[in-house]
Amino acid sequence: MPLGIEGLVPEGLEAGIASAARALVILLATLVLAIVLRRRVYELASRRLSRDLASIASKAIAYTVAALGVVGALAQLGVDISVFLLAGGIAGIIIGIASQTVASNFLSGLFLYLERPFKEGDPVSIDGVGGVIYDVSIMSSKVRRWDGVVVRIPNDAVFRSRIEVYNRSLARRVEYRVPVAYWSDVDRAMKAILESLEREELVLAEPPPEVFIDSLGDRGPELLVRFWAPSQYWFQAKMRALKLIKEALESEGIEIPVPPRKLFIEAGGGEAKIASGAGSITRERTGPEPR
Amino acid sequence: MFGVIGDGFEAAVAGFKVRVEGVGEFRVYVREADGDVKSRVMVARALRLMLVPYPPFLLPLQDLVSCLYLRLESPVVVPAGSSVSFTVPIPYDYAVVASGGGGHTLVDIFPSEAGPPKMAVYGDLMEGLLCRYYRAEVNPEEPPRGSAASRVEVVNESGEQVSLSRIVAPRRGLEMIYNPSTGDVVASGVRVRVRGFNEAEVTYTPPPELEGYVAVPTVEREKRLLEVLSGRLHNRIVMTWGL
Repeated sequence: MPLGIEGLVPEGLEAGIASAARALVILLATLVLAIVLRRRVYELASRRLSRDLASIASKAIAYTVAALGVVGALAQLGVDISVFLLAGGIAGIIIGIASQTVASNFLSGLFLYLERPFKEGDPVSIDGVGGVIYDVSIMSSKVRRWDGVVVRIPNDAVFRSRIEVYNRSLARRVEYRVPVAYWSDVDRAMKAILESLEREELVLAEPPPEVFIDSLGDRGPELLVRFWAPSQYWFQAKMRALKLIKEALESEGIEIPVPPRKLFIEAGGGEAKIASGAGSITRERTGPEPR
Repeated sequence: MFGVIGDGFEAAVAGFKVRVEGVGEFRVYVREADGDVKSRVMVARALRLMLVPYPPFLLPLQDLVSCLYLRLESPVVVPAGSSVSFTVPIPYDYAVVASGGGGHTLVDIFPSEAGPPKMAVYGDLMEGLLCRYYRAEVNPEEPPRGSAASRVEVVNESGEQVSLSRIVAPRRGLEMIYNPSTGDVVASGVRVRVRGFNEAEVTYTPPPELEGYVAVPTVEREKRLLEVLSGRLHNRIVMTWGL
């Protein structure tokens, strides 16, 4: 009488071996899946995101799949997984509360990577901090300020801030307000300013520079000078053009009036002289100064 | 004025005093303005120094300029389905080049008599092009000093009559030839294919073959810039922001 395996292995042990085999298969399958997913996610993510972020994302997915595999395998072995779920839930709440800031920075970093409002080397102003983007990582962005100091700004602050990127457009506009005296020839002043701007190579020919009277102020007609310069050289253009304008006005004999000032000089015996800035009106008076 | 410059060379070029002195194993190239030395470079004697006219893309900002913007002083009206041709001056800069062993190194570059090198934006400030700018007279009797003659052919392939007030030509492909004896400079021809009321394609045609003329060499710096900026610099431009 042939002996079957049923006769050799007790019934309970047979079931146990089958469960263990299923658990092993689940564990191995999920581990293989986790490894494949990690590679594939890294390949896909690194095309759009930076390498460190792609690495973090691929690892997170792989570990999650592996953890699910372990839990599934344990379930096959008859272990009550509700304990893990409960423990996991409590741990999740605790970790979530403790790492709110970290998570916020991480998620903001993720969104900044996707939105890409700036890149390394861009001149920017973030929440009033002006400088050049020095480094962008998953938790923070570093700005090298104009004075050379490196400022680390957490990504959630960056995400909520007003960001000004100075080189996104080909050119930036420069504006000056130049007052001229009322008795000066305004047309000649405007022509001299335009000619001086034509000599400066950083001032763009198109869009063309503009000069016009913007207001009639205390000092005289105020000319508004506007021109465009390449974004990267905006500051150099601003520095150089104002000097050229001043020299051009001086060579044309156009007076840039000083602001009117009143100066009270107490003289002996209660006498005072009153001098007024541009007009240089001087008169003498006695007695107390009216309030 | 153009051509090889050797020991003892001294000349006034575009408001600068340019001279070359021989010092031991070197040639010393000096450019001065009002007594101030603007450039001083020592070049090994094995290399040949040349003063040449150079296409106007290295000044004022060599890595930003991606085209040549010619604003025509007199707009040209072209009937539908026909073509016209005319001459325009194209500005050049003065380049001093050290040549030897097949390599050409830029020693110095400075603006010509065509005036300070100006720039302009063609098109939108975000998507447009930053170009070297020049106000060009149509059909001048002879090109003004500091500029090269270029033949422009406008072919109006659109079904409408168009007015052409500017030509935006690419950085890549503009060649220049010069005559060392007369100092005359000729540039590549420009072909403008008008495709619509506000759109045209601009390409270059090779400069004519003229006796006694020499081609301007491309310096290493320009070659490297064209490689680095290859994604941005093409040998044709489609003007889509108006003619």
